[in-house]
Amino acid sequence: MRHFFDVSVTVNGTRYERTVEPRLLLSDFLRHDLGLTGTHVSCEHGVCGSCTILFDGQPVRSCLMLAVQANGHEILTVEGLGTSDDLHPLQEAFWEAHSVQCGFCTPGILMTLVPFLEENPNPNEEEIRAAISGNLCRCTGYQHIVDGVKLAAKKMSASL
Amino acid sequence: MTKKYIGKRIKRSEDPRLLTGEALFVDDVEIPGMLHAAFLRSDYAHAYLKSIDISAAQALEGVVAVFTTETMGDDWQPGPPLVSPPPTVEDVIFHSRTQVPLVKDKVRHVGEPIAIVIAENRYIAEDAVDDIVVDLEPLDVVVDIEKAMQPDAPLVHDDLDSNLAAHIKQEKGDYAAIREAADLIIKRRIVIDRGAAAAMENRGVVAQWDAKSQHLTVWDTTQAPIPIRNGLAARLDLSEHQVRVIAPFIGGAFGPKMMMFYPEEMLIPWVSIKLDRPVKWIEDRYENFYATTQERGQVHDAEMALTYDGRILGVSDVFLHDSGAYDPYGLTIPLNTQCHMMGPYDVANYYSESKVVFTNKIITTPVRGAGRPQGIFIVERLLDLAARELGIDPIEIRMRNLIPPDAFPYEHKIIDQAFAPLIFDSGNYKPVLEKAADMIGYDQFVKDEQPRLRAEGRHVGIGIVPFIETTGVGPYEEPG
Amino acid sequence: MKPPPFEYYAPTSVEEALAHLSEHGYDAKALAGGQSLIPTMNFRLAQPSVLVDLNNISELFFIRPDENGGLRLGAMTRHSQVERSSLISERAPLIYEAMPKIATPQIRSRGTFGGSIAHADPSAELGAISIALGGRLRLQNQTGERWVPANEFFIGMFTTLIEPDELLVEASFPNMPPRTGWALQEVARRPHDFALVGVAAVVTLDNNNLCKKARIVFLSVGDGPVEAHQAAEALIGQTLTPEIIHAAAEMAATADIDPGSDIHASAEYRRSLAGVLTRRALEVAFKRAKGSSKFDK
Repeated sequence: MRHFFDVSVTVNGTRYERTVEPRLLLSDFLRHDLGLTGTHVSCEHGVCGSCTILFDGQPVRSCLMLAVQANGHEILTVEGLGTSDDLHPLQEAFWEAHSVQCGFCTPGILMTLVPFLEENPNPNEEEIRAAISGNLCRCTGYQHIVDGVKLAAKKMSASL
Repeated sequence: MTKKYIGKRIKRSEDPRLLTGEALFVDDVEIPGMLHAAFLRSDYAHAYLKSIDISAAQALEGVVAVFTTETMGDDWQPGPPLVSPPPTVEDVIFHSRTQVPLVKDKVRHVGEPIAIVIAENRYIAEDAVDDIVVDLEPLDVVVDIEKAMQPDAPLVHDDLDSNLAAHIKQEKGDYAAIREAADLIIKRRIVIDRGAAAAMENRGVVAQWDAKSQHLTVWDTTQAPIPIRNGLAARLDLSEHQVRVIAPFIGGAFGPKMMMFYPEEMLIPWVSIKLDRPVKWIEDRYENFYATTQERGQVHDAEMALTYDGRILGVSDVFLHDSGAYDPYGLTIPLNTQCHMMGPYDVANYYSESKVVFTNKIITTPVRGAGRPQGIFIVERLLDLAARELGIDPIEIRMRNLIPPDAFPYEHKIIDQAFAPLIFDSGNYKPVLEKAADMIGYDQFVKDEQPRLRAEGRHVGIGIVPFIETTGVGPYEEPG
Repeated sequence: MKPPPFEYYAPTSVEEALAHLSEHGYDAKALAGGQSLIPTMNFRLAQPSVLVDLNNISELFFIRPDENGGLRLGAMTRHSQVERSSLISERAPLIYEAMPKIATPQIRSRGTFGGSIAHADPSAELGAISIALGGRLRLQNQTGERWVPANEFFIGMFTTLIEPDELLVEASFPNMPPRTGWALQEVARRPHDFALVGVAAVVTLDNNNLCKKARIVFLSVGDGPVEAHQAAEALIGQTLTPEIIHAAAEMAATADIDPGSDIHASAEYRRSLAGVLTRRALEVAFKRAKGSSKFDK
């Protein structure tokens, strides 16, 4: 006998109402129930950071949360950050600094960096690397990602 | 007015989609009515499959089908091999053994798939996998490639009389003779570990069979969709125009996602046709670590013979190469290793002998270098050791051995991975090495910085390795 | 890797949570931050049939001063809150210093103080620190509550005194006496990895700069936090000269611990690290105790 729970959650500003099994992972809920496939799943045990989203403004691993736990909360995924026509400065910076190769780790890294840059508008390299220490990338070797963050910080403080 | 692009920074055109989460990866594919697959995989590296009871799994609510080798019936077949088998050439032994879609009688590596469950979602499919009762009789395991070649080693393939998958010898000149004339022999045993590519995106296959139009569409995390299309058409008795394989955005590959005809790549389309439903299988990280191919494991006994002034007289290498449980990738990797052990150098005498060994591990197929890095590492390592012994600067010793520009096309007189003669068509190596050394400030570092740092108690090293990468793999079209 | 099915409850009060735990006993697991539990469920290594989610129990989220100069933390307080708390930095700076070393920012957004303590990973910083600070833990069940000193709380690998019908609800830390110094030293392959070896040290000096109280607690050298009693004893009544510190560090590494070997580090390496890290921790703690700096990095 499977039990289902109602979930009412705001994602990227839109309210969604769904009924889910308690074991449904938040990552699967976002990707397959809501069709927001920008958040990626890579390890499903909380070590790689690809599934990072903002939960009430905090970066969390969506593969380590249950969809039911999102009831009444606010989520921001990479789809809510910007669009191809209207990129967030962080996305623009990544584009210019060649911070992206296969792009699979990218959404998780972007979402990790959004609250980080809010709290640390002028980070040094050490701080940046500590901030993304919970995100794995197998393509870039991280250097261009760090460059992208520095560039983003410049862009974002310039626009203040 | 023409615009100059060479040397300019160009932003990639695909980045906006990747940055905004709008890029399609295989797991993003959603088709109405799509079913989900999960595999029962072996926990044992080597075991007889005695029996399997899928009844409880089949009875679970939400499960649509469970397949085993038995229930696949005549549709079960091993392989196919991923590269053409080697031609019958002297000094080459090759026993072809290819991977299977599902285990038939014997498990040969941890993670080998035994059964596939098709259900409404992956959660239920995994529940059903837990309900399958399988009786495996564990056998002694062979993991170490040297132990695998011992006479009493457990056999990965019972129909062979050893774990020797292949044996290739290649020779040029006469190393044994030149060895006697050498001023210095550098001899080392070098062990290179096996490793996994571990791309961020795990593998996945989505297959959609349309019975009305008799058309199969497959989304696959593959680096090579065309061979997959061709192979699937052949296997499923379809014409190539009936099959479309789509390789969308891919989250890293590094070799193991290339035309492997993995069991899953063969099975998922078959299931889709069988059930007349779209089917998705996405690998999880567990599976990625033991059911996606790996590479690199080799043990070398290598030797270089030189003169006092650092001229390489010859190179000799005997090595074991870990193939894993099967060898569908033929001799590509060990041949590449053999082809790179002379580096970009003018070596007149070469002896290389490779034994490819079956072990109870996931198969090895090219991962970033496909056997070349091993060869390069060894020749360069031996040269560095020789430089130290002879008191010659490491760059200088290389300069003395680089193939000179007037020697091209340079015929190595051995064969490459396409079983064609290894020829370096052109090159001018000295200026490249000189420029590299100059760009990193090699001389200044060695003369000034390094001694200064050493006096501070800091050991800081510098290394330069020139290498040539064989490319342009055949077969070739030839005029006339 | 999807978790198996389970019954799920999301109580909004401790009372409600306790009722569920009492009813289901060993079949139930309390879900705090989930950063350790959910991965094991995704692996299907843990298969609790009942999950009691504590994340909606607002009364468990707090950081409060107590009237004696110490502080009290609700069990569900997130690491990210502790990381940013000025009260913690003032009254329990050792905890504050540990925060950036705990896993990664995303883990700290959800992971909780009580969850870490209750999970009792031998590599966890907070267990060792709680002992070093002389902390106490409050357990509650339907019939009452009990306070347990941190140094009695951990009884084995991933095992604590918590009974199936009990919930860890609060941690309390006493006032740090004047002339007290603290330090946390650890070595990990990458900053956020599990420590190969770690040590927390707290020393208190008297007015003559002699050590009158010391606690040295290791992580990652045994089944749980391991206190170096002999080494700490050896410091009492002494001036903490480099020689005395060095001797105590050696004693801690050789006599007080018996680390094991695993794929991450050999026993010998752990012992060697333990000696070096204890020496450094005592040096820093001593310096802080003398009041020479408020908050060294």
